[in-house]
Amino acid sequence: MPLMSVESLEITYMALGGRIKAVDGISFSLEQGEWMTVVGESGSGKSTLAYAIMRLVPPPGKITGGKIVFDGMNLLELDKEKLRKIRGKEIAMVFQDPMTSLDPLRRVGDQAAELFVEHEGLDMEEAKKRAEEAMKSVRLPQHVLNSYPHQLSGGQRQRVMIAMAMSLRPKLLIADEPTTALDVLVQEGIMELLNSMKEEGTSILLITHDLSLAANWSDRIMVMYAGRLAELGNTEDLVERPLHPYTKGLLDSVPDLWSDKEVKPIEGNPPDMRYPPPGCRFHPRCPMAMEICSKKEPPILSIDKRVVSCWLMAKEGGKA
Amino acid sequence: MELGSSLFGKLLKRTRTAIPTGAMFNVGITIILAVVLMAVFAPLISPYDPTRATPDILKPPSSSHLMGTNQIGQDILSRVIYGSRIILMVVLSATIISMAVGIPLGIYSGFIGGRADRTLSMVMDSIYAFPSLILAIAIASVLGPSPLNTAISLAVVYIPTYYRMTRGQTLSLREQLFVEAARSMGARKLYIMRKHILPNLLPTVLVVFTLSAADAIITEAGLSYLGLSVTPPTPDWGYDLRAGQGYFTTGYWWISFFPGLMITLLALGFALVGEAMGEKISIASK
Amino acid sequence: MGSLARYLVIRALAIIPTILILYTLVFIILRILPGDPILAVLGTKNIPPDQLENLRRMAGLDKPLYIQYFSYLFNFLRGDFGVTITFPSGVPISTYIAQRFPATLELAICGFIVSIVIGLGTGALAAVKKGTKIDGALKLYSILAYVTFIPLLGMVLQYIFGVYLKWLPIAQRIDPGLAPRSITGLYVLDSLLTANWAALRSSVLHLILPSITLGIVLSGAYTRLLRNNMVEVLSSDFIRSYYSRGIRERKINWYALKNAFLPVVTYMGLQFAILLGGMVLTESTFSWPGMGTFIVERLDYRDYTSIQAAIIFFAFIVGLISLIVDAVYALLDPRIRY
Repeated sequence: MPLMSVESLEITYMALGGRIKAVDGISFSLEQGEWMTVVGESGSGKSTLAYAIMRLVPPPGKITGGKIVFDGMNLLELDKEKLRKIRGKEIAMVFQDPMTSLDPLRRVGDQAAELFVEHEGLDMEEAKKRAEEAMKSVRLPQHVLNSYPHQLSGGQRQRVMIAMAMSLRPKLLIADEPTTALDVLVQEGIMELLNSMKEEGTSILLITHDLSLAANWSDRIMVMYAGRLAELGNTEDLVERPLHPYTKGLLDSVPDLWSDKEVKPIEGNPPDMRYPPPGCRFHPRCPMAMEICSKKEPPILSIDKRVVSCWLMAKEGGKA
Repeated sequence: MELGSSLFGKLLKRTRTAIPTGAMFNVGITIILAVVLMAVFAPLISPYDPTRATPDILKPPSSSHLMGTNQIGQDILSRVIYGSRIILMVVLSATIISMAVGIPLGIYSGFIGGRADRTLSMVMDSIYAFPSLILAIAIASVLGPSPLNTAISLAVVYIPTYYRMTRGQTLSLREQLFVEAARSMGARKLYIMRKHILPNLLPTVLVVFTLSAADAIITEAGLSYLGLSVTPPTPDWGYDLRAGQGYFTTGYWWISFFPGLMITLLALGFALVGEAMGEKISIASK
Repeated sequence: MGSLARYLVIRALAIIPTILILYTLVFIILRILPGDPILAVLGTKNIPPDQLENLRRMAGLDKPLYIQYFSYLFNFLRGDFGVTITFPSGVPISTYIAQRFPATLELAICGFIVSIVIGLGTGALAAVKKGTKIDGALKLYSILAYVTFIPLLGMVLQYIFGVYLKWLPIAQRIDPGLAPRSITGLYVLDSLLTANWAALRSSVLHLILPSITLGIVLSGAYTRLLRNNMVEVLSSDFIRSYYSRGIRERKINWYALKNAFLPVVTYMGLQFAILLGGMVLTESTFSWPGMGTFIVERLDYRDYTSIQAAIIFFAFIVGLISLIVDAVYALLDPRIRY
């Protein structure tokens, strides 16, 4: 049984201009110990999806449909107290901007130790010791615990966040663009940390717009476009043989250090989600768009271990 | 006069967008209008002569004296009606003076910058930080008790409020494109200040005006309570409240209660309008 | 914490110009405004010219202006506030201030505490219940509290709790004859220090109604400010992080409150000015023997020098409070250091 299975998830934002369906019927599953990356441009709904798992979608957003089954429970039906117990302990999350993710008025050590007090009922002394171990595991010096957040660098703060996420050995770690705000050298280190967690059995759900990052580290990749699933499959297969034109476009737009491949960005811009294009949302930018693409939403097809949502595949006899 | 391009036209257009709807605004404006009408039509609606002493002293509210009578037999309702005149006139004239001094100084200070701005700001901030009632007492005590002097004291107290607001707005407006454009076309400073900065200030001025009017009403009431404004037998809410205070705890509550209620009510009216407008503006600017 | 001390010293130096400006301003108002200040304050009673000269000399008005400016300031800083010129005349004003100021201080502190408790409590509640009827009702409360005329509220409370229910006293600081031995001048503190329980009880009871009156009116501003700050803080990233770690909601709200409270502290400095203003009316309503009633009495007697001294005294207090507020803010926020 997979660790987590998301079924037809829908998330809607009620804005002044109208309703925006940020996530429109996404389904996928995640196994224990698996690393899956969700890739997409801004506005694709990938971050919203990540927040939804822990039910942290900020108002005016609301989860308006579907199920998220984790460890046999539908997370969307849990009461507040049960949800609180899962957060931090079974599922943990690392957010995008480390500069604002810590309480500026409390020392880092207090914030880190708090987790153990809250979830494992330890007293402050023991909790502090555990916090020390957590700092060691992300290779941060001990003085970090006594510091206030503003005294640390962005990279250090992100490591602290990861250390806190790791401390209770969660089954799932969700990382929303954890390295976007940091420089490339620091990025490598953060990714290594995540990988070491995966090797200890934690499933990783990484959210990023950076396809090369996804390709280098994940087991599987899910490509999202405008709130919908474009393609989902094993990393190696997907990168070698992309089926969806959007995936192909993304791969073509990424520079490759080892070859003279020409970089070709995808034409056009992501749609205004208040008025999404009819039919397949990618069709205005798709070089292989057919007539049916602008009329009807493409079915979600399973071909081997690949999931694609594209009319091109439908013709080739894939199963819906 | 072409409504569209003139200063007046611009002001009119901007005013309309600043007026909100909603219960808070409506209640507030109703209160203000009611009091203003009361002041204007006082001779017509007042049941008795407010200064006329009668032997009917200390009578509780009844059908002949809806708000009762005070210790020298004056009808309190009449005094309340006429009292609105003093407070409105004082507060309005004080506000006009404050605006007339504070706004130009604020625009000038924000626009010119440099040493003049710094010095002026420091002085204004110091005044602003000082308790308004006490400063007003200081001025009024030297000038002598009279409604005019009260107005002057209030005016001085509120100049920094208008100064700071217009200065802040000017500073941010100064950086905006159309001002840059006007400057690059060689427009003179005064022209820019008049044609571009002034109209954009209106919504904020309205909000600041109503909120500081609310404050001024309370301060004025404080001054007249302390005897620094009118002298008897002129009807005045603050003064009447004080005059009746000794009787309150012995059961003659109506003498002080009604004037006090009116003070609070009028200030509330302005405050509600001010808050409603403030909300509308902050929503619009998001 | 060397850098904290340095910060405070720099802030203290920055206060001096403010105080000087206020002193100059008050000086200008009281000395340079048109009209003879002595006559204006005393009214147009017929005073024989040599007595007038005498009064002038007592008020120090016979010397040239610039000498007056500096000599008064110099004397003031040494604690010499001049003497009264009308009934009773010749009394050193410092005596009065030494008696009256502690009374005002005690009431100010209590009123301040009440306003904080009410303001923060209602503000936090409104923030947590954002968008609901409670939020709307509290918004209305805050506006109403802010505009309430102090004497009106004071009188109503006096009537309900003092006259009708007979639970609390409605005037003065303490029952006659019970004043504790004077150490600080603050009756509550002095009673505690001398273990004088009767005085303690009486002084606390007398403090209740005026503090609540003052506190309610002041709390209005805090409610709105705190609510808006807290709403913003509650939607910030680190609060979201707290939720994602499964921390209890009560604790999270408390952390949010602490963060939201910080900007309110700077506002408190400004609020103190309003508190002092409200003090005059509160003291008057409750016959509280403080600086407020002192000014009022001296106004009635047209005692120009006392009024002057009291107001300049207030100017210094305002500056001092500003400094204290800065210090408290720096203590609370670990990010503020020079």
